[in-house]
Amino acid sequence: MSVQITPKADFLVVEFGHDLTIFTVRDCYEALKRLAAMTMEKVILDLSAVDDFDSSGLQLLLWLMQHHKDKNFTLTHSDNPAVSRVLQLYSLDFNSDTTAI
Amino acid sequence: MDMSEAKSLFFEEAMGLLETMESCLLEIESGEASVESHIDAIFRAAHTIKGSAGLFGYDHIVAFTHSVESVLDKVRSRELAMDEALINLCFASQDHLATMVRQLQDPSIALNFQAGEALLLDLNRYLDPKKPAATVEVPQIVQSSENWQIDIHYGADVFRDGMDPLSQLGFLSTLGQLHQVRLQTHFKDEFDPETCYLQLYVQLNSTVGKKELEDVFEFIQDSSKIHITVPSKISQQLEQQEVVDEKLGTLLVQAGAVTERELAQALQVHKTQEIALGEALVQQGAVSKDIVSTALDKQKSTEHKRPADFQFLKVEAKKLDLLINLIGELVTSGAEMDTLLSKLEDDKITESFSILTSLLEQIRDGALGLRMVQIGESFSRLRRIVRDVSKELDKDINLLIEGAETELDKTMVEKLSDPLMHIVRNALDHGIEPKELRLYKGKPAQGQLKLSARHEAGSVVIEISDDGAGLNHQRIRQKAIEKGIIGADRELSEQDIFKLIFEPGFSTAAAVTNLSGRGVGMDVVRRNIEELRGQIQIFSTLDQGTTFSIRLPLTLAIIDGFLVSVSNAKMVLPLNMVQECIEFHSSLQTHGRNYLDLRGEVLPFIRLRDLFKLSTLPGGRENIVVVQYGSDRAGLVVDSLHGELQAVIKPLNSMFKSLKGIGGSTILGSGDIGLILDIPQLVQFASNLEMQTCQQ
Repeated sequence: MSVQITPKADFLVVEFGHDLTIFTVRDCYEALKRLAAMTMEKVILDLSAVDDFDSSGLQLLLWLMQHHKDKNFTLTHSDNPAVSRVLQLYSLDFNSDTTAI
Repeated sequence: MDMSEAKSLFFEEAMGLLETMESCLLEIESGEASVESHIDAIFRAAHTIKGSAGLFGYDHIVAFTHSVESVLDKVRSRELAMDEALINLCFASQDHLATMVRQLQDPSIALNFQAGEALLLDLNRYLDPKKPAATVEVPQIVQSSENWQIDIHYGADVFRDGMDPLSQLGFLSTLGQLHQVRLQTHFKDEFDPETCYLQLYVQLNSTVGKKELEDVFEFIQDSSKIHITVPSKISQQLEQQEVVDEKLGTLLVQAGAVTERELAQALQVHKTQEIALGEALVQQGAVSKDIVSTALDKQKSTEHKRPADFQFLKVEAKKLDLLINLIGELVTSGAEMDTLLSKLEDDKITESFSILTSLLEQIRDGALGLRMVQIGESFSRLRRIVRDVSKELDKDINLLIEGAETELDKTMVEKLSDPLMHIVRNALDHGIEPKELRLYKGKPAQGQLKLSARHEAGSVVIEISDDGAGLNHQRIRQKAIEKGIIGADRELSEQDIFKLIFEPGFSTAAAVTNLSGRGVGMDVVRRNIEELRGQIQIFSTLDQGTTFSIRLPLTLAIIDGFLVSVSNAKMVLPLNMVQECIEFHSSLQTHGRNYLDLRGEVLPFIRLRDLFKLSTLPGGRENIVVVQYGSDRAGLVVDSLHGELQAVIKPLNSMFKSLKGIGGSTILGSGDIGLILDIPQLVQFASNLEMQTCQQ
């Protein structure tokens, strides 16, 4: 499983698999195309399960956020060290200002 | 050294520097050289003139040069672009400066103060910051800060190539403290998740060098654009560093402001796009403008400490002439010694003397080489004439120079200057047609003028060719008859008709312009060239163009000669003109005439005994020496052949100046006088004599 999109009450949960790297970004991207057809405004990107995260994975998330400007994204990763390290190195803080990117 | 000597030195130095300035400006204008490559020399010329003029209290020169120098300085620091208007202003300023300097030597020269004021106004306009028209648009590059600034535009294939910007960022964090990290994306409408759209900007506080930082991005150098801007502390390092090589690139590499790779990249741009090196480095983001300015200042201060003519030594011409004279005496004395030693028949002494002779020959060549200068110096002056005259006549003329590096005796270069100028002016004025006429004739609107120089068989050949109207031999002939230069019934070959233009008072131009066409000059041209033991020939085809070919001997002082004797007289032929020697029998003579069949070729010959009216010696065989000058050959019939020798040319007394066939004299080893034959005249004489006999 690369990406799993689950509609909840009035929001969507997008769960990424173990690998969010150059090896899986194409599959993830294909899977994420479905978001366009979904009307829910609020989207939670869950990276808790991600073990392997690289710049191409991060780029996909950034594209997603820019591409769906009509949606409100929240990122969660439950202090996942792989994700924390990437965000820290790039000085990114999604919770405070995701649209700044 | 008294003041007059010092002032004379100032005059010579200033004129030399002004010549350099002019030739550099010409090369920049024609696109042969970039502004960057020559601006320092132009600046240095102005700076040195200003400094020297200040020493002598020539305040008007100092004031004027100061403005010129300030404008040039702005060009150096890329604040001003060397555009057409500025180049013209520089030319005008150079002319005005030259007049000011000349006026010091010759107070009768009038200075145009109004023109000077106008030039100062124009120059000061460039110095006024309120006038932005001439400023260069340089893209604003990040300013120096305390930190390294790294800006990476990742290439599209970075991910697919297995590279991850994250790993580079991680590595950078181990080299120092990351102060600012900014990630930007440049997504396209068609998003491909495997394509990289990232741009990363990092500020890093670290003690590592630029090379180490560049190495971090080694594997993405080709696919991405990486700009590493050095911290401001590098400027201080640059100011303090010891200068080994004052080239801008080397200075920056030494200071750690630029890496070798960046320099190579910028040099490539500098060469291909003719952008100043400093500007290229700033454009590629390798270094900030501030640091380039600091390096340029450093370079400037170093240059000022260096003597102006670092690689040249100025020697008084008098001293050089004395040395060459002494070497001439040494050669003569050596020849005498050789004659005496040959009588001793002692192998050891002969061998030892041959080594001495060989060294002597080397010293002779070296000493003569000291007087040799490149003819390019004369050509450079002509470039300015071509530029000015073509502008004045509104003709588009392209000047092509070939063989500017060809060397010639300094005296000859000086004496050639005027004849060359006359020929070039004539070509520009009368040779090359106006644009409309050229187009009407089906020629390109742009006329071509070619100056070339080359060494050929011991001579220097200088050619001035144009693709203009060519010489109309019928018109020349008619004009010569009208002017009474030739009789109406006189038959002349085409070459002889062309030579009529060298006759005093001859002019074919329908309209006399202020440049040429007064018939004064071309006769002086021939006289000057003949005084240099040279020859001038004209080749011309109507509507296709004209070529003036000047052939000059290489040197005026010492030659390798070939000694012969006719009756009791000893004669020397320049060795490089001697082709072969053959035994002469009367049977070789064809139909009793003075030409023979040399392996199927007609060879006219002269009997030197008859020519110089020498007495006949009884018995003995005669020899014929085949000589060549240019494409013409002739035979000289002599009694005996004695072999090679070095001949120090002693000019003949002015009483014998009109003597044809003898170019000078030399003292032989035996103490006898040897006459140096003027081969070009003899070859021509032999050809003409035989032609006249044929016509009769």
